[in-house]
Amino acid sequence: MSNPSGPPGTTSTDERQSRGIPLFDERFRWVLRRALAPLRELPGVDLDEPEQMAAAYGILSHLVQQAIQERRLTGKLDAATVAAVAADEVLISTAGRVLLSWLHDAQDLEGGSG
Amino acid sequence: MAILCVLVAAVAVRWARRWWPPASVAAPSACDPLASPPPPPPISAPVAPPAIPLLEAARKAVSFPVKLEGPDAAHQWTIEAVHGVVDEAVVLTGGQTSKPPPAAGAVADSTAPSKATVALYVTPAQLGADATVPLHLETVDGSVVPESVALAPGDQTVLRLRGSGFSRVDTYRATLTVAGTIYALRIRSTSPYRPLGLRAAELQATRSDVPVFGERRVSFSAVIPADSATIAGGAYHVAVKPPEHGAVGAQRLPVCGVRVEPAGEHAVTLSFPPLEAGQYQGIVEIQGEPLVVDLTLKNGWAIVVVLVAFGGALSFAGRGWLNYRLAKERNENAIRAAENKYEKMKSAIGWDDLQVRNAFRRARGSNAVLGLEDVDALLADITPRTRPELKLIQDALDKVSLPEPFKNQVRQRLTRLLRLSSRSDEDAIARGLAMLADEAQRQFAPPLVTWLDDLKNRVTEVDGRTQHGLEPPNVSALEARRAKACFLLLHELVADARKLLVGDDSAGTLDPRHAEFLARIDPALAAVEKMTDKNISRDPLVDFLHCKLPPADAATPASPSSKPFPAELGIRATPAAFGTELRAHEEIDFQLVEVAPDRQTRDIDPEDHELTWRANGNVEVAKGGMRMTYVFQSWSLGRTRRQRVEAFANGKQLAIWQEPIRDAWSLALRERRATVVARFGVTLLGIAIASAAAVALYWTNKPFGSITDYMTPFSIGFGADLTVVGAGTKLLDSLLGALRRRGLGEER
Repeated sequence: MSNPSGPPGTTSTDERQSRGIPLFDERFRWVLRRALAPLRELPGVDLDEPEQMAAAYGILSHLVQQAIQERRLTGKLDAATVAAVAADEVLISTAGRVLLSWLHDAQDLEGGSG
Repeated sequence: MAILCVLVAAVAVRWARRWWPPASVAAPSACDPLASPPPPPPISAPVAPPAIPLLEAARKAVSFPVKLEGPDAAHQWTIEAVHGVVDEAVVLTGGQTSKPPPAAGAVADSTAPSKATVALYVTPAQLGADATVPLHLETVDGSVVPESVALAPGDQTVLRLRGSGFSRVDTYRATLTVAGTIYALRIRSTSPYRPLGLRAAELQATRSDVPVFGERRVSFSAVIPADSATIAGGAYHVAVKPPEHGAVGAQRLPVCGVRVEPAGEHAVTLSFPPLEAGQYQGIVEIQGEPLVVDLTLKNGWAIVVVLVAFGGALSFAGRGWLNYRLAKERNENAIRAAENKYEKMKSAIGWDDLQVRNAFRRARGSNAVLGLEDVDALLADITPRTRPELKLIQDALDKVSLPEPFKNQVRQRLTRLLRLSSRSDEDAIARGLAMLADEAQRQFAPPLVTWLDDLKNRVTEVDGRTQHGLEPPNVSALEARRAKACFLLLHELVADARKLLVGDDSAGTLDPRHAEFLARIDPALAAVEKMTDKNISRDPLVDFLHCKLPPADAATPASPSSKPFPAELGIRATPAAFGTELRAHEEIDFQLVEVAPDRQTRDIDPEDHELTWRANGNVEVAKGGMRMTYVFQSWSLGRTRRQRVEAFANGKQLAIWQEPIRDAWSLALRERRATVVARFGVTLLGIAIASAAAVALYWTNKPFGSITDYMTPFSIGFGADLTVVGAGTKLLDSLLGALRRRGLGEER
């Protein structure tokens, strides 16, 4: 179940820092991890799978950072704000869709290669 | 004439027998041939009754006039008794009379005048109701006391009227009957006593040995030279008379008790009865010779000095006591004010607080004799130490977001420093506070990193411990995967926090919720560790993966170690500053130690344990560590006192120390020896000068005995201390103050 292109969350730190909020993951990993809990209920998703968990985290982190930057909340960023942004249903559902899409792509890729 | 004389004699005898009849029993009867005639009456007895017949006989006149030389026409005769003795010539002259007819048978007497017996009688001299002085008549040769003389007309007979014992200067009265003529005698006694010939007219003497206590009298006697001290009978006549011009304040000599005794042949001893101190004046007549006496009796000169000294000492003590009370009250107020001021800025560090309280105890203890002047300096030295680092640490602990377990660790380190209460811990306090302040300045990042490293190590440790239990076949592959993911997540979270603290572009701090989250990791880890031993449920691991960690228990405050104390404990006391002797007012280090069976003491780990130290009963000195530096307030006077220090932990007494310590008073006295001696010397000098002045001006030549005499030197001493010492000290102080101010002015 390896993804050749890698999950969205597996981009290098430098890359993330270049486009995202500095030290965002270090500061809010525990917040985003909590926000990932609803995705566990999605059919076909197994967050106990480390790769899926990593992909889900990467997607959510990316979306949350985007949302924060769009809402210009970077200046007063704290755990509560991030948790509030991450708990947004639209954002979670988007993250779920992206994750499922990524899973399908991955399965297709595995099927094609298999 | 002869017949006439015979007849007169017969009549006289007859009259005499009538007056002195023979005794009824022993009287010889006329028929008794053996009976002896009655004895003639004693002629020389001056006051004897037989004089009465003689008087009767003497009243019978002779036939011719008998003239007595001396009396005036009224038959009054004044004679003198000098030195109590009358010795006057009585010259009787028979006068011519008309020729009587010759009697029958008187032819034979026609050629010679016939003599007649002239009876004489003299009564004792009298002066009022005083005793009579006997008088008698003698012949010129003094051998016969005639009661009659034979006298012929024209004849002259010389007799002597004698008598002695005239003791008063006055005029005595007596009668002399000569041949029927009664003469009134006036005997003027001019100098009643025989003179001693005193060779002094005035006796002026001073004695200064009247005792002050006990028998406050002294006898006085003086030897007075005289021409002849021997008198008949041996008893001197002594009379005491008041002085003619008595000095003011002088007393009269006592009338009774003045005695004179012979002191050899040419001196007499004049003795006065015991007299109190004072001046006595009077005239003592010894055998009628006046001796002006001016006697001054004084107490010893030492009493003047003693009184002056007593007055000075009383003034000195009074001034001292007044100054002492004033200074003590002022000092006490100053101490109380300083204590109140300190209470508002009380130090949180045990040793700092104890140090200040030790200083207050020292100041309060010094607020006593010899220590009063030190109180100001001691209070000035009390400057509660400000520890800015403490505020920095507290602020950092309040503001910086830190995981509660880590915060507890920091608080525990701080609390340990705060409760240290010994001078020995001063460096440790300073170092510890400096370190904590440094960490606080850096938001506690370095120690937090260490804490995170410890947490990471613990994660690794638990991971290793649980690896076997969390792998198939013990658990399902899924659960094994989840468990592995959990540990990875933990490592990742710790690494995240570490990076936030020490990363290149990190803020060096944590978000408060992040810190709170980190605080939950350790308990959750413990839960995971426990879970391996029991059934592994799904939810906790899933929650773990989603960072839904259960909240940690309420933060437990830093608590002292529960490490048990050794069985036998003791308290070791050592001087904190110098020397080997434990003294009041100096710091003494007390340390709880273990007492080994061989009675050797060993130090106990000074960490963690919180002790309550009490001194002298229930006075709680400090809630401190294993050591405590204490200053005893005691200022006992020159003696050691047992002091007691107890150490308690959790309300239980661990050890007790009870030993005597040296007082602070003797040390203070030693330090102030020169001052004390100088002051005492100045006081003594003042008293000596005042005493000398008092003795010279007041006591010399002045009787000493009244209450004024005692009060005056006392007042002199009192005033001398007030003026000489008191004012002198003030003057000296003001001079020194002026010089000091001048010196300060020049320095500026």
